[in-house]
Amino acid sequence: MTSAGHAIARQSEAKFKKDFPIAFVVVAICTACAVFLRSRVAITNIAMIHLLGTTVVSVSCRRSVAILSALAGVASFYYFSVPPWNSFVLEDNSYFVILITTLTVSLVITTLTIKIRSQTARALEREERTRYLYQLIRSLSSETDVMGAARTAATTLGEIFEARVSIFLVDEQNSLADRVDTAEDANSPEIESEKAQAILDARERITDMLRNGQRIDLRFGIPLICAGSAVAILFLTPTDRERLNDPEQMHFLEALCDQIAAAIARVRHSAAVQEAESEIQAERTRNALLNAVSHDIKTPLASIYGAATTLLEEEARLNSESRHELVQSISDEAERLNKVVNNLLEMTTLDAGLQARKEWRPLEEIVGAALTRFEGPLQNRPVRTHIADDLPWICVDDVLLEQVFVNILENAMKYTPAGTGIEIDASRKGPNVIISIRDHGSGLLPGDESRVFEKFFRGKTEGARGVGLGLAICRAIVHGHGGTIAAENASGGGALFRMELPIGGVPPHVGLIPEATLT
Amino acid sequence: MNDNAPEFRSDLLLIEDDPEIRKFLRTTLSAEGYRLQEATTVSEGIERATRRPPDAIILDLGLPDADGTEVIRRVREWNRTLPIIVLSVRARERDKIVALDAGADDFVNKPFAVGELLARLRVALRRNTAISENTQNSIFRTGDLEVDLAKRRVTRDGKEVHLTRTEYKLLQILILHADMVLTHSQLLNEVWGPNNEDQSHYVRVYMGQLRLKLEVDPARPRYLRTEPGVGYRLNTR
Repeated sequence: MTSAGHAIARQSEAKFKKDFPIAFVVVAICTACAVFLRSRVAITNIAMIHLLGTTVVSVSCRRSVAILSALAGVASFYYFSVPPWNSFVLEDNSYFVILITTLTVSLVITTLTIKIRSQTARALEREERTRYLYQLIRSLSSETDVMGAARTAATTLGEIFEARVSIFLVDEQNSLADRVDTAEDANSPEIESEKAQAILDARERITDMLRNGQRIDLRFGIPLICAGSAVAILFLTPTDRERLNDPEQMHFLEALCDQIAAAIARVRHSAAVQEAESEIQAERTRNALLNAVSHDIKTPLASIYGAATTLLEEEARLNSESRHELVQSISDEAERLNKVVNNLLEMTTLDAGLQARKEWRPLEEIVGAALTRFEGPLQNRPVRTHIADDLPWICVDDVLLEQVFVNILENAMKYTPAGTGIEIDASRKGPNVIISIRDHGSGLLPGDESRVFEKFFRGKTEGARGVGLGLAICRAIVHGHGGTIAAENASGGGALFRMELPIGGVPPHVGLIPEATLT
Repeated sequence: MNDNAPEFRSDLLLIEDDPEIRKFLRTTLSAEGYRLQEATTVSEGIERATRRPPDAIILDLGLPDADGTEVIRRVREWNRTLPIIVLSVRARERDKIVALDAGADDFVNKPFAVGELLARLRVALRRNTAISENTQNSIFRTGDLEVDLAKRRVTRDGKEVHLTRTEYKLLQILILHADMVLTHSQLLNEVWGPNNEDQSHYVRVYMGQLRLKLEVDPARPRYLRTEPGVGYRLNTR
């Protein structure tokens, strides 16, 4: 992409090569006209012809050539048209006035025209540079990683200066990291890296040189500095080597470099912030996990170990009732330990990436399997299930979805008094199935509605034991199925868990099942 | 039924590599009157099972030298009825299905209560002697359910229940394997014949219909239990 301003500059450059002949031809034509007309018209008209020629030359030629041609025009007027013809003798002093006037007007026209022309050109260039700068800033601002920013910077610089650009990124330890090239074939990259290293080593000296306004050949690389430290080394090799000799272009490039350096520093900074944040998060999870492992695994282990050693060492002194109590506690605590380990394992598996084996199943069957697991503990709690008759089968992993029901029911039993009921409802809503599980306990504390799904979160209820992973597992499973799960307090008291699961397509047609073969 | 001692002193082969689990099973099973052989690897297990065939095998799937399923395959090459009960870890449903389809009779999830293992063991051993303790003179009874296998008549709470041919066939297979788990593909194969193994929704549809006809609360089945990820079990306990 070549800018308009740049195009104009190049056009006139090409013209300047021919401006001397143009000026010569214009002066020659004017002289010829003057010689032809000098006997026919008044001398002032002849002067006008030369002024016209001067104007034409100053519009299209270099300043020096234009002035030279203006002088040549006046000389030709003096020699050929001022009487006596074909001599530099001044016959009448009144011609002196016209000669001086012509000379002055010629020079003024030339100077003014040239000035206007260069002002226009500069305005165009400025406009173009502003546009480039804006474009660079805009494209850099959307970059989120350092390599992307460097690549954008290299491409944009390459387009503006029609140059081959290499950017070597410098990491926080002030050593060279990745590189970005605009040219397809980075010839002898080793040498370039060495050069970049040399520039990096000399960055302070170079920065000083730049600050003192010294010119540096950018083909040999410059450091991009932000907040006192080099973030990258830039190499720029324009196809037209003269371009970087223009101080205006150099200033422009410096402005671009400042922006690039700032952008790279910004991206790097935000990446560092993000990394720190996720590290804090990971650290928090790790701590919670350690806490869970040390507390929730060690407590039942302590009970088991304690009970077992008591049985070993004090067997003779224990009555059969105490012995039975100890054995019962070993069994209960082992079961609790098993639950904790299962939850930790399940969460780890889900964290590592859910591998759901989805198949079409009736929801009723999954709910039934979950309820079956609670035969004993659920006996004192009336459970009412209502599954809409028109509910289609859903495409889910039944083992995982059963776990969701088990965990929510377990939760309900932990946090609600015995004898209170539980209701399970399921109905269809468009492409989804809505399942709600409601208990009649004291409900959730305000603010806990979303926190209950966090890993290692535990309700404030006294005596509630567990790792605090049950509902986090539910959320992971439901999300893995492309669904949502939320908790709220039901109107009339009690907690309400609401799931929305996609049906997952068109259920298999169940009308065409062949009858069994009778044997 | 838990205090029923085995009617005869059965020989068991326990293939398990963990010494602690072997120790407590040895204690428990001996106390229950079983005679026990032990093996710690697949190759040792196969060798012992071949040299002195036991009445049942208790098999851990995670053995050091090979997958425990190998024992099932090798044993089934020469004996189709020897009961095999697999000790497995929950959340590895795939392994259970593979073991069951290879010919294992049932599985028990680790960690397990001893009562659970003993019950499964009794059911598996009984299969070799009678169809089921619930079956007398071709009549199968459990709870309020009664099935006359000779007359193909099903009653619930004294009232006759009409089943379609397929429903009856499915129920019949479940009764013949009462209290034992059956995988989807085993049921498909038994009811619809081979070449239907990827049509597991057939079974689900008919199981749903059977529950509607036989269960008081189909959403909380008492008899027709689902083993999530594995299959179904007719529960008579």
